[in-house]
Amino acid sequence: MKALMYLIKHEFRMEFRQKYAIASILLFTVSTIYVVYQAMKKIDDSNVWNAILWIILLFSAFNAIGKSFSTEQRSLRMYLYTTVKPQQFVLAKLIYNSLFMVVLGLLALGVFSLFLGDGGLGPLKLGTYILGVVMGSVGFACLLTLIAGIAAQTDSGSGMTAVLGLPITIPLILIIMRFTTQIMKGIPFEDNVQNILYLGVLNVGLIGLTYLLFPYLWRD
Amino acid sequence: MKTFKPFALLILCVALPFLASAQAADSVLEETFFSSGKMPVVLSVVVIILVGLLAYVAVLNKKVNKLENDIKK
Amino acid sequence: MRHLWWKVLCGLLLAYVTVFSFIVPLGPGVIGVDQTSLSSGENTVIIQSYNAHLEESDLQVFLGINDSTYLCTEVLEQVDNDKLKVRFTLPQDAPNTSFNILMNNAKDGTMFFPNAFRYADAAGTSGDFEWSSCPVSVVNQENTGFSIPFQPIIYETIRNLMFHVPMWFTMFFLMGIALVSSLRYLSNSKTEHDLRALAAVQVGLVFCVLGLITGSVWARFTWGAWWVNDPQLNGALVTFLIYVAYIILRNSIEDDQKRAKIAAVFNIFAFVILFVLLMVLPRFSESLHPGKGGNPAFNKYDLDNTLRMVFYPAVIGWILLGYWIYQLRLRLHRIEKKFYYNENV
Repeated sequence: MKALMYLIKHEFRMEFRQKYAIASILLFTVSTIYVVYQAMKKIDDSNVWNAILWIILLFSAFNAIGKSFSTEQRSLRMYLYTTVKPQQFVLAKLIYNSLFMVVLGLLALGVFSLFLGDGGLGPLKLGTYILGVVMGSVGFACLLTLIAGIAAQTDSGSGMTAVLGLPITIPLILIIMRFTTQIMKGIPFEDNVQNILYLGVLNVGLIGLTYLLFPYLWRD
Repeated sequence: MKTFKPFALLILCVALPFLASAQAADSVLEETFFSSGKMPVVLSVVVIILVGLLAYVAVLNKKVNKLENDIKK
Repeated sequence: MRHLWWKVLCGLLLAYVTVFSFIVPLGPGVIGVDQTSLSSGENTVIIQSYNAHLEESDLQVFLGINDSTYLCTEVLEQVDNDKLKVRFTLPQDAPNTSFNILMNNAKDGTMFFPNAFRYADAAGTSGDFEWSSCPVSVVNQENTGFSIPFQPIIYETIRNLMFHVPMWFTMFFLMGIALVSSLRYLSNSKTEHDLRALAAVQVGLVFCVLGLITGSVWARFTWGAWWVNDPQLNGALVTFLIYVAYIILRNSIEDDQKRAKIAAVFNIFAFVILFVLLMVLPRFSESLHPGKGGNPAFNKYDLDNTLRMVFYPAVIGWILLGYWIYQLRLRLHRIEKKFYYNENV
């Protein structure tokens, strides 16, 4: 537990030491939103609004998590290899990536509605929508952490994340799109809650799978 | 070159429906395939499977040839 | 000879399946009518049938108004081999606006064509008119001949059940082999299991592509489009993409040991997600496939005993063929490994 906390702290320190990395991810997300704003000005159709927001979140996630294994230096990895268990290491990564993605997702939601209007969401449905964004972001983090780990091992590096990850994100995208479009349609939360439960089960499953499979990636 | 083949396959599969729908407007196609209780559809499905499997056998054949040549050397 | 029996079985099964799926005739049915909209008073329509014995003397034609109401028609003449001209008189009042056709004779059984006509003039519930004037007891009799059941729109293409559908069964069988091999590779790190996973995925992809193409052709001439937004199709496409990604991943790693290990990890991860996808997708959208989203299933009266006699052998035969090709691919991999890397597997 202590080692886990240490590793999470370590992740944060690593990330904040390289401020340009965070800045580049934020820049990517914000400038994508700005490009969409230039193309569409204001989106009134709630389906289009929802779809574009999730596409932006998807690509932001690829951009952010795809880098998460390539920033480490080799010497540091050798050091970690001798001191911590791979399970602890990957749990720290998962927690850090989830937190980072949640912050990024909420930020993207804020900036997106600032530029393109709220797409008919309104303050009443905002709470459940934020729940959707949080769960979706955690889902992206859980799904892409292992994929980024795999991609970091290939000779073509983090570019591989998109090739390996995109087909795999489809189930997640389907569930989250279903959840959020139903929110937009104004369907009460009781009738929609099963989608968020599916998502929760999927996330737990993904975490378990990552926890089991990651040790095989780490030792080479 | 080694990674090229799956990519080409991918692009082909994505492009195929578009190419096909571009020519699909002709009713000649429908007339041919709807005749005699849509039997031509079954025939084309069988032919596609046969051609596909034969093509794969040809690929295997080529690989065996290459291996044989290398062993001879 | 000991290792040959299942290959012989595969050949025999596929020969049996091919012969049977082409010689068993399609059952009789109604394809369409020459006019779909009716008006009150006397109507004369031409009904087009398929494989039906219109020349039989006991042929009867009804209009099905609703579950309990039938209208008799007068058979005027047989226009040609499969066209029949009938006449009937409609009153102003009708309990329903959409009529079905039912045709009956002892040889063909009952042929049913749903929603054949729209009756625009229907003014309301019928009063004194005697709709059920026919001997309704003969409705719903079985077809006595040896045949494949007739289905509206699908017609003869129901035979694709023996060719298109087993492609998916074979693919899942091979992907299952790949999953098991990947799991075993992670537990014992033997190159053999890596080669097995690779060969299974390669051959599985061939069957996946064949399934996609044949499905696309079938869909074009029954559903009207090369590609429809259907959970089965989406699932198939995602499966294809995931395993293409698996091949790309393998090609992007030089070191053998590392490649095998990472590919195995990806394969297991991908398979689990694929499983989730195939469980989740059908709940989310309507399917055009039989047995899904209110469509008639192939396992009730559609997959009747005649079809079953051919369908199950077809599945087994194609799976055996897939396994055979997989073994050839695997042996080639082994020899390549031995020759180029001098590694015994």
